[in-house]
Amino acid sequence: MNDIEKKLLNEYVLNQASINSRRHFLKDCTLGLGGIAFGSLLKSCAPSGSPNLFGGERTLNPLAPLSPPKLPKVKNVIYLHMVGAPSQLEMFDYKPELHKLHDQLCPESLLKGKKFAFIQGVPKMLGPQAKFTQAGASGNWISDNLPHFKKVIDDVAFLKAVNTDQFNHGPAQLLMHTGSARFGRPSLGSWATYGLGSENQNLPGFVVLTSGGTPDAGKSVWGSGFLPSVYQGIQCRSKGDPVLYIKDPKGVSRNLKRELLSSINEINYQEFKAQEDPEILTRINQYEMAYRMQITVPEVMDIENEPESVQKMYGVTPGKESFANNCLLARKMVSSGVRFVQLYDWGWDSHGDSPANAVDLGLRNKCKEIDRPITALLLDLKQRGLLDETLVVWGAEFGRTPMQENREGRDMGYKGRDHHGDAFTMWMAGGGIKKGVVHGQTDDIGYTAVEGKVSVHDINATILHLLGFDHEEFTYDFQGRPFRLTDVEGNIIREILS
Amino acid sequence: MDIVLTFFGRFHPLLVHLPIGFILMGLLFECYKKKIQPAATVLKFIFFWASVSSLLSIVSGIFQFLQEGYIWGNIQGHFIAGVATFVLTLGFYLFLKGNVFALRIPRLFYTLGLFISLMITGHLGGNITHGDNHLTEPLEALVGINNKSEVRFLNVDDYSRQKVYSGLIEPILSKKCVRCHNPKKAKGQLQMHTYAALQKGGKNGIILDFNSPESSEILNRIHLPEFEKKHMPPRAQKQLTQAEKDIINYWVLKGAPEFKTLGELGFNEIQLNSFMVQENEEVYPSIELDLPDKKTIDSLQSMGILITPVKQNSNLLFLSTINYKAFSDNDLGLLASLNKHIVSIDLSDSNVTDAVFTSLSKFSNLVSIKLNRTAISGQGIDQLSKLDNLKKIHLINTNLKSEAIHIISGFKPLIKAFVFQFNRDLRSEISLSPEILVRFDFGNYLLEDLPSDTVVY
Repeated sequence: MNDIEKKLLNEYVLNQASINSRRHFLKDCTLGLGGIAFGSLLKSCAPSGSPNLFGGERTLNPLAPLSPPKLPKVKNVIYLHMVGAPSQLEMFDYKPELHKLHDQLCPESLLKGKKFAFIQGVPKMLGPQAKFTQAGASGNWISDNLPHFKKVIDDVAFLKAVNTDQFNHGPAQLLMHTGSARFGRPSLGSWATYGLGSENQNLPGFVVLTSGGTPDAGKSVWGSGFLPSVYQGIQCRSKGDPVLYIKDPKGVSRNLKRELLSSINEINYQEFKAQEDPEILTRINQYEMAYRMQITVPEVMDIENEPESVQKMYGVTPGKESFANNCLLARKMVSSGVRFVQLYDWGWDSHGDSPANAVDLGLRNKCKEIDRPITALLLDLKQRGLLDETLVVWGAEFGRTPMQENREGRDMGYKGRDHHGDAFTMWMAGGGIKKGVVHGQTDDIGYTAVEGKVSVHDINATILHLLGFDHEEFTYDFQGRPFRLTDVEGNIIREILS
Repeated sequence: MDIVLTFFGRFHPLLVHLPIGFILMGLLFECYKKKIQPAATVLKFIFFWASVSSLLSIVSGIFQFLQEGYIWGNIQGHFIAGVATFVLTLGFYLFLKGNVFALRIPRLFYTLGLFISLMITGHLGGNITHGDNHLTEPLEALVGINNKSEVRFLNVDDYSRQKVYSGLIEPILSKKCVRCHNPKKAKGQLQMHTYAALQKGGKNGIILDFNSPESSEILNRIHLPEFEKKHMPPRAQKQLTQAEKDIINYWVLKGAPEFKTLGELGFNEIQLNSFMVQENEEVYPSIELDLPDKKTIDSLQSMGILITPVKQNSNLLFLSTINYKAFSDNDLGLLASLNKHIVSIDLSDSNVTDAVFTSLSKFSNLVSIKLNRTAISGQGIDQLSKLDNLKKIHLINTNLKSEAIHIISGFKPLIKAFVFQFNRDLRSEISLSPEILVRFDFGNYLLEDLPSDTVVY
């Protein structure tokens, strides 16, 4: 063996050693060294003489707040997802030409090469089932299904040509929130919490509230994927106890509970020392968080202590599960320092198979359920000085067809539309968003994008940008390669940024 | 004949140094004329040759101007100063010879005038050869003028709709190439001021090869090492930046189209980064600060006070008492050493009182203050008028008096004050002009009931 070979071998051994060191293992695989109360126990794991003035705490508390790489435009995100996909043609995308084609057979050219979830053969066109007016100083079009929303229409930037390649609810919801139509990727909120932590140490950084039901894709849409599970969304119940078993059981004092937790955590920590599994630390941290949440969460989740005028503005019904309650809760969360609030409202799948799923009946009621709360949410954020540091996103997994659904080739009992991902409407409002603009345009019947088409990845790239991240740089190493929320795609939608 | 003229013209850079040397030597001699004898004869000799070499310089200069395509506007000053130098040199020679007309003008006029005109001529000549800021460039760095950054002309919002040639290539070429390749001065008979001229090429043939773009001469020239004679722009001239080279390379390889847009050719933001107009909407003051004091930060964090940089690697800090609501006026003293660093402070829900304003007025870089749900009434809020960067102040649900609103309305940099009070209508207690009112948000928004609210479909 000559000198050069020796040198190379030496270098290799050193490299291997540095990769395999225990500290490296902990630092790389976890970020989940958790448990504030266990800080003293874990001090030995923290990098000594941390080079970062502020970062040292992260190794002890995975939710410790971090600064984003770029100056952020917003601190918080409220993401309103209408599960089932509302019809853009009855809400925001005004298509008078479609009226003229009502009840005519759809031209073959539109169907060529297309695949639908339910439409078979040649369906009929379905004219808009709502009246549209122009509103606000911007004069943007909006349907009469959303009368209150007209009041805030000038604060909103519309994306009228959002595109997705999925036409079934589950995969489309996954794609929208995790950047992949398959399971296993972290959700947008998890990425945000992983990158930014939580400002309020007594509340989770990522909260999920649902009304009407759970999304088709299940809890994976707020899952943490390959990120440490401490970054997954915490689902709070909108009625009864916000978090199950958050109250101390009868006869158990808080002190006793503290001692109990300490003992459990001590045992878990022993286990961690033996196994070195970071998920054990996540669990320790969850217990600690739950303990602290016992006081803070009921306080934040209590909408009855809000002024009556505010309750009335949102149209809340305390004690019941409703989208209005969730909107008020979202505002309360954000003003208490929760980073990412995700609202899912169920019941927008207007196929026309029942009155509740008819675009001229059930859809109108659904619109009514969200119209006042969303308007109130925007106004309330504004009057509390929160709108310019919060991003509000409204959307769904896809849109609906300009054709009437004809399931199994037959006419449906009610007016309905099939799933359609080629072009649908979403909107954003808040910090860093241009007010009253419309980006993107669909053709005369609202079928495809003719201008300003944006993808799901573009939307996620834009949200990360507003939070202070470069979506191309923000990665997590997993299975031997860095992963991004936007995979290898995504362009920031500059047209709607102020 | 042309060849002779060109050849003689090329001697200009050599010849000009003769009168400079002769005249300066003569002027030096003039200063010492009492010590060195016999002065008169030597002076006469020097200024005779100074006159001759000046004349030769002017003539060769004119030939160079005619033959090498210089623009009159660029050399006008140099020419006039050169002629003035010659006239004064000849005049002084005649003065020394005892010419009656020349003697009418005082000796000092000649010597001082010569010195000045010589300096001007030389300086302007140098600028033509080496560039306008050749002399002053090193000094600019000294006084902090940053001339290094290239002109930015693309807009992040609409760059993709710009035409590649007119929007990007043409500005680069006109900055770095057109000076020597234009209709008035076409070195190598190549002109580069229009797309048509680029297509035409020069005396060595075409520079854009549309059949095999990768062998285009323009790419050879810009990519040759700088010391090579054929490297362009010539070594003495301002060079293309790496980004500019990459852009030209990309464009040529894509077939050097004239009308395609940046988007169509697939240019991305990263490639074009150095041509983008920088977003100039920095929220926070751009100041250089030392690292904040670690001990202070540690002790604040151990109290549960949230303190983080506004972005990674920034020394500007955001402070919040969200996890330490017991924060009181006295605790503000703990932050004293960070009074330059903290640009955003949130003391909402804490125990601070009106005394907070005096303390906060020492945080000179504060951009945002939040005092929501505290006991402040606004007494002493006038102290905050010292804050030159204060853009936002949040005073929601406090005991804020209406007088405070008038004081706040006088804060010059302030963009928005959030003064929503849950249980009273502060808006009705004050009267302010509409221009000032837009800077306040009094909240109290209501959503009136609509008849459609109760309809169920």
